[in-house]
Amino acid sequence: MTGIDRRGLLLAAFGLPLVLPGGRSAASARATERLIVSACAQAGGRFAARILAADGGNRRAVVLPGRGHGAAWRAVAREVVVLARRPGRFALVIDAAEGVVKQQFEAPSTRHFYGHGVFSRDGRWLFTTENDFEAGRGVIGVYDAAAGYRREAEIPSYGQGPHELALLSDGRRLVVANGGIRTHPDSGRRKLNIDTMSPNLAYIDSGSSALVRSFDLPAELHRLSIRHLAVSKDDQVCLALQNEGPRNRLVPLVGFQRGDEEIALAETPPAILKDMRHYCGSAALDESGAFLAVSAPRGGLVTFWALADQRYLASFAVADGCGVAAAGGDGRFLISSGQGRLLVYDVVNRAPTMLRGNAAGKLAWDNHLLAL
Amino acid sequence: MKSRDRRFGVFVWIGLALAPGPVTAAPTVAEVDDFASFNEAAIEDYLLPRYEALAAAGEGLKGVLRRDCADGRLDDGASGQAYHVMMDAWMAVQHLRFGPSELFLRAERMQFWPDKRGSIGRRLSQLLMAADQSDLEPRRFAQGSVAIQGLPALERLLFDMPGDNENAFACDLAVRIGANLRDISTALLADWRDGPSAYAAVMRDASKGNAEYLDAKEASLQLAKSLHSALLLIVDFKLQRVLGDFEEAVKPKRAESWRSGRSLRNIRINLAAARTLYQDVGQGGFAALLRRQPGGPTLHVEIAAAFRHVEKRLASLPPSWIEVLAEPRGWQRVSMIHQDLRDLLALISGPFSQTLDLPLGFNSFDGD
Repeated sequence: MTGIDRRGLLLAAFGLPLVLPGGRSAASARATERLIVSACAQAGGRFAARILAADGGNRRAVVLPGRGHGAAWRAVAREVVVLARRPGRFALVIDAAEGVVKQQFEAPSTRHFYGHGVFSRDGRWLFTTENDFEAGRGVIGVYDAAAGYRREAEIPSYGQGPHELALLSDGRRLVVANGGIRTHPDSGRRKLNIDTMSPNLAYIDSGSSALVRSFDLPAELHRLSIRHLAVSKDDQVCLALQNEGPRNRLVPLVGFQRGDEEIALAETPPAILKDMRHYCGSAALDESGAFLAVSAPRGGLVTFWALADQRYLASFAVADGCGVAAAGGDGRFLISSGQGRLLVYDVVNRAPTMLRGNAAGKLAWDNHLLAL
Repeated sequence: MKSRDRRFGVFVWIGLALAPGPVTAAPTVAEVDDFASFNEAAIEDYLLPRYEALAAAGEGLKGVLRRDCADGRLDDGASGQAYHVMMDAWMAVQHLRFGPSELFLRAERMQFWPDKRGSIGRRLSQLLMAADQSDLEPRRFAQGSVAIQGLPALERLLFDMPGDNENAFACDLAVRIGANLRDISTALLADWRDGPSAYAAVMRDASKGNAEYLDAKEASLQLAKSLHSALLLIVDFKLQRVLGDFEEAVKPKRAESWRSGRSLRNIRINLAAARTLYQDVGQGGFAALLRRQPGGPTLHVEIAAAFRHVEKRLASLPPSWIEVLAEPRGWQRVSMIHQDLRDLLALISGPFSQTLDLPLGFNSFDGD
């Protein structure tokens, strides 16, 4: 099949109903309890993905061929795709209930994953952020889950170093955090263009591959890497940033953007900003969509924000805490740490609760939590 | 929406009333002054002397290669010796992946490794085949492929071109690599030591906060990362990738410097560099800071014993992987060392990092 044919096929597929009834059908919601998925490093340095019950109890563990990063949830098949951390190329398709690997596939040899992916509403297409490293440009790989995750197409990410991405409520537009940092597998994880880096937030039409619009930061903040994002049901985009600029100049590390508005950086108490150590690791909204959690693992704290007025609310100290996800309930967040902690933090009542899966000292939870 | 708004109002009020002051990860136990004086000692006793040694080795290497190649023949005697001296000096700073070594791809140009895609061999044969002197023009060479301008390419020319030591172009190439390595090592030293923007001054200045470091503790964190990196490089790249999961899976040609038969010698130097930073810099390195913390003395005893133990085990092995694997139980012995080092690494990334509140965590160290 030629590239054009594939593209045609893809367009046809997207040309069909754009807004499908929500990913969670009655059947799939009923079947099952809430589950949590996270990559981790186990004792002895082996990498794995774990599937946990909502109370943190360990359900399944799957050994990974290397260090994982994020994961994408395909509700229709109740499967999770765990993606390799950059510059890895593996993706594992895991049955969420059984914890068995249904399939492994790889990014093409001239690409590697950045560790994040998202499914189309109907669960057919998987979009993954990837590095076309010889050309030094970011791309979105498009895989057909219905055809054994065959790579069907590639969309430009319209920036370098695309990292996390999300699908907007129309089921068609992707919003992509282009971190702006160029890397090449021959130089490991080294950043090659800090002086000229230029991050952006790109809205891309997944059907036509066209750039709808991209948003830059002010020129003096070009070293503020847009890396992670969380998107509310009504398309409020929340950004978690990493600063490569001068260390003694504190800059906001959380941003908000919606529709055609420019990115607004959140006012943050200077003491908190200093404690965040220029680095956010992950972002998530709670179930109500009123609260945002942004982790700052270098500072060992998780910060909480009100979406309504984009305001800093509180923070909670978790050493090497990075993974955040909605825990179910207003203002309730799951938090995981590289020291094995797993807890729920209730930001309304400012109350932490350790979970059963708390495995302090026994394993290291990786950057991201996915709540199914 | 009204009820939500109201609830929100209440929440804000609670937020103001209950919000704790700035929250930090853990009580900072070591004093800022301690970190500043540790940094100072590391600069004087560790960083600068090592880069001076590297620059001197680079100067020596350049001279020896030029003399050696005067007759158009490359000889692995004197040149090989100078290569080893340069490698020794590089292995002592290989883990210092910050500051001047991050500029202009210096670390990669010095030593492109691991070469997972076989770039060195491919580029080198292209270059030798073309035998085009303009490829050796200094600027062009230094700005060209990182694969052929550093120590691994020189190693091949010296130790892995049987019967081809009369290739005059190979000789010219070796001379160019020598001069290039000298230039990189001289520039590294200059950027560390000289002038008002010298990196040593930047690290000293960390106490006041500057573009590189928020405070002195952050500069100490940089050094803790280097300690961690030294061990991680050995565990993951120099051993795991070679050893495989069982004896038959061993891949000696993935080892660093296997052609010059010094893979384990490299590791010995890396490990000594890590141990020195841990306990021998200034008034006792990181260990001195550690011993002043609650639980620190016990932890120090454990870490120091782990270093001693693994260095002793390593000392009983020959410097080359090929020789090690030829010995009875060679694989098992390295495998045991690998496990010891993993345990040591876990002590550094876990309790050491937590006790000193220098985050080397799985996620904080990750960079994604």
